[in-house]
Amino acid sequence: MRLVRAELRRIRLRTVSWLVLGLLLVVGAGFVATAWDDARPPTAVERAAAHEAYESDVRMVADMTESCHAMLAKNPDENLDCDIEKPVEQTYVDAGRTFVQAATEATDGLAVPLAVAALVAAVSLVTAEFGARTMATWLVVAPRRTRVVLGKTAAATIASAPAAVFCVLATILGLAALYAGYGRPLGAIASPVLETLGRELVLVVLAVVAGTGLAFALRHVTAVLGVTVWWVIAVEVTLPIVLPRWTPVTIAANVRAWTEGGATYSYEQCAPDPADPLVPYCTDIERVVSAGQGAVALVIVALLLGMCGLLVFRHRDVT
Amino acid sequence: MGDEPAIWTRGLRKTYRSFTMREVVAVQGLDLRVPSGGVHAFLGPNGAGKTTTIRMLLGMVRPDAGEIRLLGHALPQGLEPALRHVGAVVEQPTFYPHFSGRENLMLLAVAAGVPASKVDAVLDQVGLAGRGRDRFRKYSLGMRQRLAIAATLLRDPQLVILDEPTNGLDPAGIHDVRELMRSLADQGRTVLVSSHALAEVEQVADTVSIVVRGALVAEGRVADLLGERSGTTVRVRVDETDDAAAVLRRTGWTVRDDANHLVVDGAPSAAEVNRSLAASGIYAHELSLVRPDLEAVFLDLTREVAS
Repeated sequence: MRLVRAELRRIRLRTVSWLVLGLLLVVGAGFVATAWDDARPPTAVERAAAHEAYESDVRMVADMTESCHAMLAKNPDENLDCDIEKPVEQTYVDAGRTFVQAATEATDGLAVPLAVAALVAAVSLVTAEFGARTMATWLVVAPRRTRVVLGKTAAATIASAPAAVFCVLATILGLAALYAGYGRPLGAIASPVLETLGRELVLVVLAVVAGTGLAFALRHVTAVLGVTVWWVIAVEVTLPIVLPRWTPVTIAANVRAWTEGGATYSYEQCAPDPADPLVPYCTDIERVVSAGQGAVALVIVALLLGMCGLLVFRHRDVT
Repeated sequence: MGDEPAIWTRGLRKTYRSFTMREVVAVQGLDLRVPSGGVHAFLGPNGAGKTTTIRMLLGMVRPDAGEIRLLGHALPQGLEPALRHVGAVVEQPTFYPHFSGRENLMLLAVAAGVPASKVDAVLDQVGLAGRGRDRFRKYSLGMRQRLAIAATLLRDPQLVILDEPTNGLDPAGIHDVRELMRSLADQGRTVLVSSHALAEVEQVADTVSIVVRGALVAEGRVADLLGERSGTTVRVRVDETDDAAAVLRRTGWTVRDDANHLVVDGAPSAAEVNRSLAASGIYAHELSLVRPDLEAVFLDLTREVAS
């Protein structure tokens, strides 16, 4: 517990911690900015244009109805339905997304930035220690290496979770202020947002475990960056293109599945055409990675990386 | 001094592999015995394996073979209880560069369960009370050394391990560190100091171990080690240097000129040299026994091993 307290104190003092939090708030502010047009009531010019379009359509519908009735008068046996639906003026004014839609989308959209931020913060927390060669100083006070790993992981988790909640809440409050400022109705969002936030917190914890594991295993931020870039290029980007059937192996698919309640992917399955065996007959197969599958895959990856870091740190010399 | 040594190793061995898979032996079969209480100097040329040994004592590096007992605890099982009573600086003092000296110590204090008041006390003890709030990266090498020593004192250690503690210190700083080591030893603590400043170490150390190429070549009380090699060299100043040299050589001793003096090796005592000269009617203006210092002993031993 003392180790966790010391690490939390260190996290609070680190510039990187506040920088990561600041960047997350910028991302949240980006979601608020993109909702600007949705929240803003239409201007007089937009209203006039919408009204003009509406009136034009009303005239067109009247003309079509009149023509229809004229044709029906000439040919009564013709099976014509002249009851053309009349335009509704409200639909011509772009109402934009509602507050509930914008808030739900922003919460969903924050999942990946939150996970990446937690990963970066955890990696930085550990690699900075190896970089500054302070691990040796630390190990004189705390020689049990498993406790050192667990202490850092716990502290990074304790620091990341409230930061994630704070960012989501700040974004939603920003959206609420924006919509309320324009006099737009708000609405109940607690249930969907809380569910997504819960999933995101799980994701943040897993990212922290994976990040500390990677950092303890590789020790240098450049090594972690190298492995991450290699993984992204070789697996996350290339694999779904070259072998789409293997898409569930990617972290992106599993993150999507976990945070969005499921993710679909498709691949082409070809077989010889029974009519002409020389010609392949291909069909698109659509598959789903369920939220449960995604969660299990992410937990396995995080635990593997965490265990790997722990084992390497326990057995390698610290110089 | 207690019977149980503060540090005891037997057959300690550590090898490293280079990128070309070449095996480099850092420590080979080191038998070290650091008695409890007092200042123990741990000497050796660069690359002798001193820092690797200290790292093995602190559990940072795993030995390939051998046994270690630290404050009565067998390692690695007893590492944690042993280190509760150890303060150590290994090589360069390493702290978080962007935090202040005080914050760095506070982190260690929180982790070690030491009250915050102790941080200010140790900063004051090493003369950093006024600079505690400055960032570590702005510290001079001497201030870094002082902070590292302050860190070792946080937990009231029974054993203090200092690796080159006077590096970068000015004469006043070196004097302070020497006084600090002495006062720690006077309080009944054990101080293991690895250093190249042999003159400094000689003034403060009670016992010494000298390692060369990872193995122990000499150990014991400093006075004994110096005594073993003293009494054979006498320095004489006479007017008739050529005649005196001839007289002394006839007795079978080795004589060489050194400025206006003669340096006589192999004589049983200064009195015998004086007697031989007086018997030939030559009287010395000055006659002194040349006592080898720790540096001379160290250089002799390391040369012997090298040759």
